Amino acid sequence: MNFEALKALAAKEFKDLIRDPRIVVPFVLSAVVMPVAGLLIASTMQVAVRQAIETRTVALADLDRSNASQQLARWLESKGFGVTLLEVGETGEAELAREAADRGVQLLLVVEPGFEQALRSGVKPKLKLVALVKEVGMFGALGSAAVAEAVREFVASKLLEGSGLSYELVRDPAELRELAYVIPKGVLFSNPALLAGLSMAVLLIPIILASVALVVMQMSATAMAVENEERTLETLLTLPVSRFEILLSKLLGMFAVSLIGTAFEMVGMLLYFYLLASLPAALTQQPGQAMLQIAVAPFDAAFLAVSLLLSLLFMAALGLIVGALSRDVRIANTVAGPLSMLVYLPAMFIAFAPSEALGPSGSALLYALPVTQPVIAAKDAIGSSLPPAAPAYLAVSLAATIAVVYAVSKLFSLELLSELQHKLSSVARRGRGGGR
Amino acid sequence: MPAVEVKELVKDFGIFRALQGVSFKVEEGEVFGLVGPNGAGKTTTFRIVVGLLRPTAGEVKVFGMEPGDVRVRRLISYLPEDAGTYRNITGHEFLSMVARLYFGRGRDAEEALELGLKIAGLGEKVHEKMKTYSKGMKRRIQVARALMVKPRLAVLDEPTSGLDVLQAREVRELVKKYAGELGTTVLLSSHNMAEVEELCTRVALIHRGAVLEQGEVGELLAKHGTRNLEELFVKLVGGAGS
Repeated sequence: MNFEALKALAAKEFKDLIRDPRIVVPFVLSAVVMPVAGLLIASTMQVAVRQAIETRTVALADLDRSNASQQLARWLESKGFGVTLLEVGETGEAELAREAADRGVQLLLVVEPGFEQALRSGVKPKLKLVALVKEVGMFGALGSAAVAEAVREFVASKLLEGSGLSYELVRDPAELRELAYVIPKGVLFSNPALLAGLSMAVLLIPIILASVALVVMQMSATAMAVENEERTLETLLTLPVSRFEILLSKLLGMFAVSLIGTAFEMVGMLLYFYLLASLPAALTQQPGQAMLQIAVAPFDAAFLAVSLLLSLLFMAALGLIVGALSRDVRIANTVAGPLSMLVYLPAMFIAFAPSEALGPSGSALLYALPVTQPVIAAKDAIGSSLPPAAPAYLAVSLAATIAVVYAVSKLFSLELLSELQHKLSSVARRGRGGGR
Repeated sequence: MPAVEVKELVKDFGIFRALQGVSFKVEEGEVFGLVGPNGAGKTTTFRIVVGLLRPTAGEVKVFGMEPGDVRVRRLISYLPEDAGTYRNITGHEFLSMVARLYFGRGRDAEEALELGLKIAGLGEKVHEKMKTYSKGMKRRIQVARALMVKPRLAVLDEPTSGLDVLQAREVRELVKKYAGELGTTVLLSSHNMAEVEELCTRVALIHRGAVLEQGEVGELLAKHGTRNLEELFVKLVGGAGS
């Protein structure tokens, strides 16, 4: 092995890739888009929260015209809500809502006839709380919760009068702590928000890992196709270096760039979760903080790291095959698109399907393939634990990666490439002809 | 021992026979031209000589060795027709990489780089990314790359293809000057007959995968009573029933 040549070629590969906007822009975008999306979601939610807090005025349509309904109005005022009484005639709910909207309020409370009678009889009185929605959206009707709670408290206190029971007791009659024990990890979660965060990580991290692998494949396919397009491969193959050294230098250069790209993606994801975690706890259940607190066993983390490295190498080699067989970048991208579905669809399946759905053989297959191994391993490492056969799967993945790299090194022959490109073009032409 | 010896070379691409028994010999130190129109088989012949393609039949020896051998690749330089450049690295970085591939990091590598920069003659532009270069500048870099390693054999496929008159002249001057100074054997192809007359001592005229005639330029012209290679080629092709 000529290490000096290897270093020189790998440095060339790295510089050529890292300075190429077609390669770098997606990385930078992934680092920028995620926090921007997080910022947008966070700010939208904060506006909604502020609106909910600021929704302190309610229009009251008192169809019961009773003492109890007047007490309810005073109760709401005592709780800090502004109450605007509507003049009620024979108008329906839609008319009442329009009238309330004209007063500039966002909530309408309709006290149905028989309200006082129901309270006296100890049955549920009928009320309607109408959210006056200016714009249909995710947080369009967020402000009604506080008013509803105040109304419930009033009704309950009336119904409980003389019983000796308090509203707080009836509302939450037991000191019930909800805990979760994750069996494979042996961890007891006392905060439901942490478990929710862990569930989110189990979904998201496998998908992120699959996305990273796809970016690497796309990048290597593009880089190799550029060699064909610019006809630099022809020169490269006549230089005094072996085909294996050329291949290895390409993989090393791409690997270094992909690590930088992965770092960008990770920074983007962390910022995204950090921004979400900074939201009020009631709305977000603190998924970001929970994510950051996840503990993965050291062995599992080491396995994941090695598995991810092998997967990136495998995907880079796969991308090289795609790029080598493509005469230009356009063809490489056309082929890489559908090919990426072969990675993305299993990743989605792994992320969303329960482990039992995969079955022992399905799980073994996904562990054996370098493409899916880090995806399923990430899910298991975070949500449960790695299977006992994990080291064996790693060996299989290593063998598959070596096999692909070997196959690519054999492909680095102008004779074979020209022949294969010609055959593929003929097949594509026949396919287009048959479609007409 | 000849620098290149090609015997009865045949190359098939599927059912298409690109070369049908091509034979010629290039002696060390000479500038030999393979002349013919597009599609005559020049590039295929060169690709076999430098080891990029395998012959279907026939024999090729480069300094007595099989083409494609890493030892042979150390002795030769190949400049493909329309060879591109890496878009995002500078000319200097490219030439530096080539020097390291051939000579590692020693004094020889530094000398090769110095020579490459001199042949390229791009001034400060050599420190800019090659995607900013004109076609002529890219060709100068490629010629520099091919000659800076002082190869025993330089195989130049259409070295002035696609260049304007002035750029083509510059490249011809470079090849003539440095091949002579470095004692490099040159095997070049061109469909520009005047160019070949200017650069080459001996030529082989190739058409439809077969050599029609070969020898010293002056002798060939005298033998067939033509004023230049173009007339000779037309005469031979006409005679071949084309």
